[in-house]
This record gives sequence, structure tokens and C-alpha cells, in this order.
Amino acid sequence: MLWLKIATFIVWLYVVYALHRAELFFFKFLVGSVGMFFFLMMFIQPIILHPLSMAVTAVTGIPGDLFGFYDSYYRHVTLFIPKDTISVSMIIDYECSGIVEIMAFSSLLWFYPLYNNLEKLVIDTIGIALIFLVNVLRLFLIAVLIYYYGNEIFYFAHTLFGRVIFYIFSITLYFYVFTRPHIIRQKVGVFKYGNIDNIEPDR
Amino acid sequence: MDIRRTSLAILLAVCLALSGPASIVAASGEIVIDGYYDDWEDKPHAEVYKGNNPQPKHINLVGMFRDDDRLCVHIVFAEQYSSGIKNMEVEVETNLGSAVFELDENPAYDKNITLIEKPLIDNGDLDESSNQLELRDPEQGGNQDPELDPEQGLEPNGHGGAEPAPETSVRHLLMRLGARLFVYAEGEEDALPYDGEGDTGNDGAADSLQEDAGKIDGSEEGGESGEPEEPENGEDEPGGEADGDDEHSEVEPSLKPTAKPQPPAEVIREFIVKLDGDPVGTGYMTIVDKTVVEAEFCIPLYTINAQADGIADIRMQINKLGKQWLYWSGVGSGPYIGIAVSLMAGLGLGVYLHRKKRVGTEVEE
Repeated sequence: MLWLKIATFIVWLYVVYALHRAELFFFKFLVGSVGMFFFLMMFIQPIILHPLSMAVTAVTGIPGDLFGFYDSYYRHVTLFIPKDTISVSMIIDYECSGIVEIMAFSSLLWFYPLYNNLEKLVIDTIGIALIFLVNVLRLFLIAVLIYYYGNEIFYFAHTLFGRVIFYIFSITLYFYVFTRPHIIRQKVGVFKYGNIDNIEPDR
Repeated sequence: MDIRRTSLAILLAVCLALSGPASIVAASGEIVIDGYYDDWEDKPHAEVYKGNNPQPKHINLVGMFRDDDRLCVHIVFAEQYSSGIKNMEVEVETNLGSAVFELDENPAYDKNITLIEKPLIDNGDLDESSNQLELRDPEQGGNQDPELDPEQGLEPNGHGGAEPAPETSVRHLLMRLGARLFVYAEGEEDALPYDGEGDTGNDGAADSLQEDAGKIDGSEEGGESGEPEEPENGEDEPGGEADGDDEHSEVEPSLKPTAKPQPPAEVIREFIVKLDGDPVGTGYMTIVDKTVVEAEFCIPLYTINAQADGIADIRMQINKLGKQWLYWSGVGSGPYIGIAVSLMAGLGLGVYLHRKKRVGTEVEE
């Protein structure tokens, strides 16, 4: 199986290189970002998943300790929410760690034809940090909801509420990282909502 | 240049591929069911009690931890708990089914391990006539207690022994020690002062325990070396010089320090976890002075559902301890909800843009 992974990786590298030489930038972005996400999940995710989950758990425990809502057992990637007749051990697993979001963002960024490498490095670092912090915020809110409303709300809190929060942040982040700079750098005009007649073109 | 890039890419690929298998699996084999609870020290415990606003002495601490395909449970019983574990029902509900497990005595009794804290037995001896054993706590006199000096002449069954420690203080002492200073001895017979129903009277068993302890301290301790109860830290045996090595065998029986049996004697006993009357797992409980103080056991999740990997949410209640439910939520909602939310958001955005475009077209017309 290992040789198949290596062979696939080499083929992907070659395809990206060929698309780059052919100046097919859209397809380079498409194949490159999808492939990078795939290989990050294959090779890197098993290595950093547990440390990342521990880090998320540990940082999430800070506001939990501060406000007394829950305890953090970062070695076991567990948030423990004791409340009256229930005690919930919430495990920070693969989905909760934010690793998918981090790798998706990085994959898109590194093949998006907008920034130079230094800019990509800085933006990627800041983006990963923001995703991490928003994930912490999401988990904190989920734990607070469970604290107040019991485990019955767990499914809603995690699957819908927390996810929507993450999506709103992700869309905002992607807008400021990809959409807005792309329009501005194309120099076809300023980015502004409203009546197009009132917008003076960028001369 | 291309060759260099290609070589670099291949090198990178090899490095990544080799690093891939080094995955870390959390919570794998962390809990060992052996009667020692140190692997529970860093795991969450919930307070379980009956009624509302209980006193601290009525609060049990229950830890629940999913370990691979097992659900492991640790119980630190309340100080006032005296009902034992017999017929204790553990109700487990998961997203893939539920079951009610029952804890019960292990009929295979011979495998019980008797644990006795070393300092409590080192300076004692067995009075053959009364089959009573001196058990003393060094913190309460130990071998420095002049009344226990054989040279001062203690009467058999006299009152020279140290006063038994209060149950609670010894119990907490033992908890603090974390079962690190114990000596093991195989129990050869049913000699444990616990009848599965708590402190409901079992006087004869207490004597049997003393017999077992006497074997440890008397017949086996006489050896020159290698006894299991030999202190590992090289300390002199408590009890003074008269107790050293074989010397104690030369002491007149009348001079041997004997006293009333001194609880606490701590034993660890195995019990079984049953499902519909069939054993599905084992556990261990610690009994101090006829009272069960701590227990741990594991429940195989396949007994609830053959697809144990699919069990993401677990909740458990031990009604005999209290009404509290313990939840273990492994989350794992899968991608479907995310895809559905994304589709709904995209659909909403599409509808919005479509309407905006239509309005703009109508204005132009």
C-alpha cells in the first residue's frame, strides 16, 4: 500500500508540474489543491491529529476553568461537563479538532494564484491560528449549551449550532483571504456593495 | 533543474510516506483492570449520589472511560456506602443499543489477591493459641510503641496493640498511598471479610483473614530472603530487633506481641460482570474493613452491539449509587449533516442571487 501512496503522490506532482508548464492555472489550482488536501489527510493528519486535539482541548479548557463550566482533560482529549444529574465527557475527536478545516484552507491557499510564497506562508499561519481559535470558541459554546441545557441538546449544539458558527467564520475568512484580494488585485474596480453607478472605477 | 526538482519531490514523498504510519491512537489500552487504580488518576470522575444536596460522605465518585472497544468504569464509593456490589446493576445505553449489566461475586474464589499494607503486618505476629494477629500502623506508634516491645512483656490478647485507626482516616491514607506500598499474598481460601453485601456481619471471615495474614507474617516471613512481603526499600522490619530474621522464632510465645485484630485489612477481590446471567467481563474491588471502597471493571462494547466501532454515544447509570447519568460523547456526526447544511446555504445564496438578478433586470427594462 505504501508504494501505491508514493506512486500516487509522484503522479500528482507531475500532473501539477505539467499543468503549470502548460499555464493551465485553473486546472493547476483544481488538481493541486484537491491533491494537496488528499495527501495532507493521508500523510500528515495521522501525525498531528492527536497533538492538535490535545492542544484544542487544553486551550478550550482555559475558558472552561475560568467560568467553571467544565474541566479539560487534555491528555485524554476530553472536556468533562458535570452538571447536577448528568456528567458529559465530550471527546475532541477527528471532527472536533478542526484538522479538516485547517488542511482545506492550506490546500486552497497554496494553489490559489494570488499570493507569492511569503504571503502564503504568513496568511496560512494566521489562518490556521484563526481556525484554531474559532474551533476553541465553537467547543466552548457547545460545552456551555450542554452545561445549561443538558446532554439532550448535544446533537443540536455540536452538529448544527457549532457547525454553523464554524461555517460563518470560514466564509468570512475565505472572503478576506481569497475573494476580496482577488477582486482588488485584478484592478477592475474597488470592492464595494451598493449601486454600481456610484462606484468610481479604479483608474 | 527539472531533475533536481523531481528528486526533491520524490524525497519529500518518501519522507511523508514513511511518516504516515506513525499514527497516534488515543485512549488505547490505557485502563488495566487489576485492582490498582492509578490509571484512573487523570480521568474525569462524576459525583453520583442519591437524593439532593448530599453530604460529602454520601457522594460516590464514578469515572467512565471508553478504552478501545471497552467501557471502563471506576467507582470510589462514598464513605457511608455499605451495600456492596452484589446485584449492582449498570445500565448502559448507546446509539446502537442498550443493555443492563450486573455485578456479582466471582465464584472462582481462589484467584483472589489479598493485599495488606506492609507496615501493618511487619511488626505483628501470630498467636497460635488464639489465632490472632497483631496489625499495627507505624504512624500510630509502630515499632516504637513501647507497649509493643516484646521485652516489656505483653500479655497475649492484651491491650498493648496500637489502637485501630479510624476507618475513614486509614481509608484515606490508603487512597493517598495509591496502593503503592502494599505486599501481595495469594489468598488460599475464602478468608475475606466481605460477603458481597457490605458490612452485614461476617465475624468468622475476619478470623480467617488473620489466619492468612499469619501465614504471611509467621510461616513465610521466617525465610532468609525472597519473601514477597520483604520491604523493598530496605527498611528494617518494624517490630524492633526481636523481629529480625529468625530471631522472632526464638521469642517466648508469651512475649510475642499479640492483640486484638486490627482492621483495616485491605483486600482486593475479583468480581464478574454479567449480562443476562452470563459473565462478559471482570472487575476488581478493594475492601477495607469489610466495606468495599473502590472498584473498577470494564464492559465489552460488543456485548451491546457487534459493531462496537459505531458506538459514538454512551450513557450509563448505576442506580444503586445514584440517579446521575454519565455520558460519553464521541461526537462523530459524519459528513452528511455538513453536506446538508452546505447545500442549504448554497441553495439560499442561489435563491438570493437569482432574485437580485431578476429585480435588476426588471429595473433595467
